[in-house]
Amino acid sequence: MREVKLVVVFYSRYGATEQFALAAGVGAVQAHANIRLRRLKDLADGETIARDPRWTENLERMNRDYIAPREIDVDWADVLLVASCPESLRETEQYVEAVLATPGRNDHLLIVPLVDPSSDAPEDRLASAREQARKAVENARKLKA
Amino acid sequence: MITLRLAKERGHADHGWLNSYHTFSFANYYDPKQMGFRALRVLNDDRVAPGRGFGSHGHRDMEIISYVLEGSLAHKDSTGTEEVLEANMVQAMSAGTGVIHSEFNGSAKQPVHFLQIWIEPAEMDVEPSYQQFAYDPVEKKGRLRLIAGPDRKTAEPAALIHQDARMYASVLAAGEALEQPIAKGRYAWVHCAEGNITLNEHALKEGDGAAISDEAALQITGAGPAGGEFLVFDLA
Repeated sequence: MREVKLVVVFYSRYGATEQFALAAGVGAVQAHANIRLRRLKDLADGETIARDPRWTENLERMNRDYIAPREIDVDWADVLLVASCPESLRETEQYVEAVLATPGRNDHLLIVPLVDPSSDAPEDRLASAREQARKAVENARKLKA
Repeated sequence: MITLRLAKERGHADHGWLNSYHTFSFANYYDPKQMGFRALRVLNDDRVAPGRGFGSHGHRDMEIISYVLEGSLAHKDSTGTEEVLEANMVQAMSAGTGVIHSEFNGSAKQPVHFLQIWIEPAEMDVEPSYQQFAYDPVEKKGRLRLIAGPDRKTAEPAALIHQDARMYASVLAAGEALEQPIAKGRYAWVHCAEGNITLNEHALKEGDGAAISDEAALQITGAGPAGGEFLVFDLA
């Protein structure tokens, strides 16, 4: 079985997108991928974040749990799975644009946006994330064959 | 035959927040001659700075046992488990079909010193699971206290792993001795976690290990000024 290296890049404020991204990570591991999880930094300024205690609390935890994506992650990856936050799409949009604009980047890199069916029941939502990740790994494996 | 794996010969990575010694190949330390012993694949001796740790990362098809020597370790995983592990507690995670977990020093002030052990499972694709239990430290004094094994029913609480392997912990005072027979065709690994011990006349100090094959028994004695704490793995 060919090794597939996958980075889940997400932006989350209150933890919901983080959970969705983690479920995608589990799906990728289930599909025998080697994974990394990376959280995009906030574009909002510190004052805006400080006015929102729930955001501040989650940010402190997520800053401990994840680092931001680095260039070497993109160089390493076969697949970037991107999970956006419904409260703000700017972080992931800017990140994907920057990756696409990087000179000399890996031409074979698959960039796959995760579709969050946020209206579904929590379990269905996480199952969807796992399934999307599994499919992305299978597709990457086929491309490497 | 006893083959020593000395502490000073182990792989080493010092990231500032993490000071890790690898008995077997792990991460950036790769030695094709040190890829594990029987089903024992990883034995890392980790010291993590206060408040720091390993962010969320994935595992698949591995039995992962954490044995804390000093401090506390906070664990969180995708099965929904969130626990804090301290000395004289054992955590075992069967990664099976896949889990994502994070491990951090549970203290903002004290470093944590723990051993992380990976045992290759005999069975793939099992449902991921997490086990944690505490035991009285007296239970490992002067005897081998079972920590993990494949048996569903044990005389004392132990973690269930999906491999024909048993992990024991023991503390021997200086001069105190024990003997453990090795069944024919079985192998063993001994890891000196702290202090000093003598294994069949070989002196082992903190971080030293030994691969044992074709031996009928282990004779282990506490040595040095204060004896030692060690792990014994009984392996197929």
